Amino acid sequence: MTTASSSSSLHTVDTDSVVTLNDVKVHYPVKEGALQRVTGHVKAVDGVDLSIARGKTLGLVGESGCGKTTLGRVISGLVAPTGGDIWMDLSAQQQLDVNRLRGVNEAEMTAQDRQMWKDLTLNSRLGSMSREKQRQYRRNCQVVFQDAFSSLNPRQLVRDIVGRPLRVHEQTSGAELDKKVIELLERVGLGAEHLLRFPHQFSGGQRQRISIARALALNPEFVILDEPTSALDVSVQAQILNLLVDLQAEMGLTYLFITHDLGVVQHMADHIAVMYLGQIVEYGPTDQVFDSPLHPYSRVLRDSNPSLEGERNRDWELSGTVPNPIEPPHGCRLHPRCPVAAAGCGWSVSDVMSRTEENSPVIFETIKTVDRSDDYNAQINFENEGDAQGFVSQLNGSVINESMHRPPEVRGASVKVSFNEVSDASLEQIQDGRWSSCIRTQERGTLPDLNKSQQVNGKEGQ
Amino acid sequence: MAKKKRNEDAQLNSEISIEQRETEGLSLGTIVRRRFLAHRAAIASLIALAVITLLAFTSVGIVIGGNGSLITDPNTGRLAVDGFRVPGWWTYNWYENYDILNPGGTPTMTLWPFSPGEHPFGQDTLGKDIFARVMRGTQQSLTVIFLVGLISTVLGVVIGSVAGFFRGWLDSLLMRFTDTIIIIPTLVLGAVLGRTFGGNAWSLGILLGLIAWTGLARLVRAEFLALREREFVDAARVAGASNFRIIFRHILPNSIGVIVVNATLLMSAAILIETSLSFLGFGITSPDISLGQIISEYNEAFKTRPWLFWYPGLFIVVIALAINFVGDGLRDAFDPRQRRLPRTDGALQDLKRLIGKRRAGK
Repeated sequence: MTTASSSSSLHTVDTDSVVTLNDVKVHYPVKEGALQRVTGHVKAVDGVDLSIARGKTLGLVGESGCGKTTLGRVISGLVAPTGGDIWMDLSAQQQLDVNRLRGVNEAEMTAQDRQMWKDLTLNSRLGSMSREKQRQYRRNCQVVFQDAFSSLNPRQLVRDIVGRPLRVHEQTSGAELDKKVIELLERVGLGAEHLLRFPHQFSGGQRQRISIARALALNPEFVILDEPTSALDVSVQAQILNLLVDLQAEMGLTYLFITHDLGVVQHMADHIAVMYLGQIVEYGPTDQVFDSPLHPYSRVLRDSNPSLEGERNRDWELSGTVPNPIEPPHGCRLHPRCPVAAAGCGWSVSDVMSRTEENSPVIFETIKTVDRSDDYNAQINFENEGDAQGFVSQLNGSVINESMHRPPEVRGASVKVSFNEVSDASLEQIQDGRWSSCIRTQERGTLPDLNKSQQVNGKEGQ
Repeated sequence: MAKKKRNEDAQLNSEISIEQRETEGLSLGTIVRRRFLAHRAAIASLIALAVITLLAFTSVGIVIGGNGSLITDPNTGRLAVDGFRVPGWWTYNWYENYDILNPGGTPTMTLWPFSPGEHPFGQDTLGKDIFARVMRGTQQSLTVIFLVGLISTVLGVVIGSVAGFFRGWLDSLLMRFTDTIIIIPTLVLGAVLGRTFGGNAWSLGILLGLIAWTGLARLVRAEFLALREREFVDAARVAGASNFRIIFRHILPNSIGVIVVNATLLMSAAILIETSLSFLGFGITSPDISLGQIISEYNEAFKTRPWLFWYPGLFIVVIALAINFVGDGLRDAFDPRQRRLPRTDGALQDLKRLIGKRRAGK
C-alpha cells in the first residue's frame, strides 16, 4: 500500500533497522572574498535515503570524495546534517509510517497521523528526541576509524583509551574497570600485558584491534567501520576482517562498512550501497550487485577491481574526472563520464563546455564569451563564423546533439544551444530489492548494452 | 583452533623491543617522574635554580610592602628601606655604603683555598657590597621571571586553546586582539607602563606577563587547530566526551611540548627584557635594584672594575640556562614517544669501562 509512495526512498522495510536516513544532506558553504560571502555549497552528501538492517552488514562503496565518509560521520553524530532526518531503531512498520508521513504536509495530516508523527519524532528522530535517548544512541553507535595511528591518543595508556567510555557511561573504576578492559582486549586478540602501554608501542594491526576494543566497550549494537583496513597491509587486513566477522557473530552487531575496496566489501557485506558524488546510485544484495550491476558506475567499479584471475572486461571505463561537487551535473550525475550515456541523461550547457575543453581544446580556445540564460540555454560567442561552424560540426552526431531541444543555431559568430530539461535521477526499484538511479536502466529494466552506445561515444570522441 | 590463534597473537605481542620494556607496565605519572629525574641537565638546573633562589632570598633578607624608597631610621640614624624588613644572614645590605677594603674595591673572594672574605664580589666606588646588590637584584629578577612565566603561560594557553578549539568568530576576535598586542613593541609598552606604575618587581612582572603571551597563544592555537582534526578527538566525541574533557584530556596533553618549551623560552626572554628595561632606566628603578640595573649603573666602569659586571652577568646567564634545561627535561619527560630513558650510568662509568678495556688489552 505504502510502497508506491516510498518509491523514491530506499528501505529494507521487511526488517527492523538500527538507523534510517531520509533525504539526508550535508552541504558545506563555500565562502569567498573579504566579507566571506557564501557563493555556493559543496554537496558532500546530497539526499541520501538508507536503512541499515539490524544484525546485518551494509557495505558503502564509492571513490574518494564521493561523500561516503561524511555519510558515516553524519550517522555517528560527528557532523550535523544540513537537511533530512535520521531515525534510530525503527521497526518495519514504523519505517513505512515515516515514509508515508514524510510525504504529507503537516497541516493536512489527520489527528491520528499527527499524533503518530509526534510520537515518532520525539522517540526516534535524532535531534528532536530526548537527551537521554540521544545519549543512548551515542552508546549504541560506535565508530572504528580509518587511521589506526591517529585514532588513538598518543598520551594515553591503553587502559584509559579502552576504559574511558566505561568510566563515563557506566561509572566503573579501579580493579573492576581493569578487569573489564582486559576482557575487551582478550576479545580482540590482545591481552592483559597490553594494559599499561602506549599506542606507539603497537603495530598497525594491534592498534586497530585497540580501536575495535574501544568501540566495543559499551556493548554497542551498531558499529560504523570507516575504512578500518585500508591503512593495513594485506595479511593484517585479513586478520582484522576475520576478527570483525567473529565479533559480529558473537555479539550480534550491525555494521556499516565504508570502504573503497570491493574485495573486502564482497567478503563482509550482506547488502551494498554504491555512492557517487553524494548520492547513492545503486543498492542491493552484495552478490547480485556484483554479478549483474544495474548502474553503469557499479559496473565500472566492479570491472576496475583487479582480480587474481587476470584482467576482466576493461571496456567499461569512465572518461574524464569527478565533476565539481559544488555544481553537480543535472539528471544523472554520472552522465558526463558514463560509457552508456544517452540523450535523456541530463545534458546541459556546462557539459558542452567541459566536453569541448576535453575533446577539442583548440575549438575551446576560440570561445570568447558564454551568455547563459539558464543551465539549459546559452549563447556561445566565437571570434568568427568559421570557429562557430567548427564548434557545431564537432557537436554533430554526439549524444549532446541528440539531447538538444533543437539543433544548435549558428548566427554569425555565435551559436545558440538549448537542451531539454531533465529532472534529477532518483533511486528506483528495478527488481525485487535491487535499486538503481540509472535513468536508462529504469527504462529498460536492465543495464544498457555497451556496444551500441559506444559507437555514439566513439564518433563524438573525434 | 581459536586457542592456537590466540597463542600466536600472544607470541607476536611478547616481541617488544628493549626500549619498550623499560616503560612496560608503569603508569603515566611514574614514567614522567622517572624520565625527568633521569634527565641530568634538568635535575642539575633545578638544583642550581633552587640554590640561587634560596641564596638570594635568605642572604640579604626581604622587604614586604612599602614603596621601596630609602628612609632614615629615626632610632639608629642609619639608612633603611620603607616597608617591613625581614633581615637575612649576610652582614651587609644593598643600599648602604661601607669602607672600601681592597684597593679599588676588588673582590675579596679567593678560590683556593676557598674563602669568601668580607666582600666576596667586591665593592663599587662608594663602597657598596656587590654580593648584597647581586642577591637583591636576583630576587627582583626572579620575581619578574616567574610572574611573567605564570601569567603569560596561563593567558597564552587559555586564549590560544579557546581560539583554536572553537574557531569561528571567537577565533577571529581573539586573534585580532592578539595581533593588536603583538604590534605594540614590548619594550616601549613596558617602559611607559613601568614609568606609570612604578619600578616595582611585582608590577613590572605582571605588566610584562600581560603583554608577553601573544606568541604562545598563536602556537597553542595552531596546535589545537591541528589536533582537533585528529581521529582520536572524533573517537572521544563519539564516546560522548564533553568539550571540556576533549580540551583538557585529549588536546592539551598533546600540546604540552610546545607549551613547556615556549614557556621556558618566555621566562628566559623575560629576564632579558627586564634587564634591558632596567638598563634603559625604565624597569626597576633606583634606589631598588635588579640584575640589569646593576649592569646599567656600572657600565662606565667596564674596563676598570669588570667585577661589577661579571657577577650580575653570571647570574643572568645561569638563571636563563637553568630554566631552559628544566623545560627541556619536562618536554622529554612528557613525550611518551621518547623511546629511551636517558642513560642511567654516566660519563664516569664510561671512563671506568674505557680504562678497564685498556687494562684488559694490556
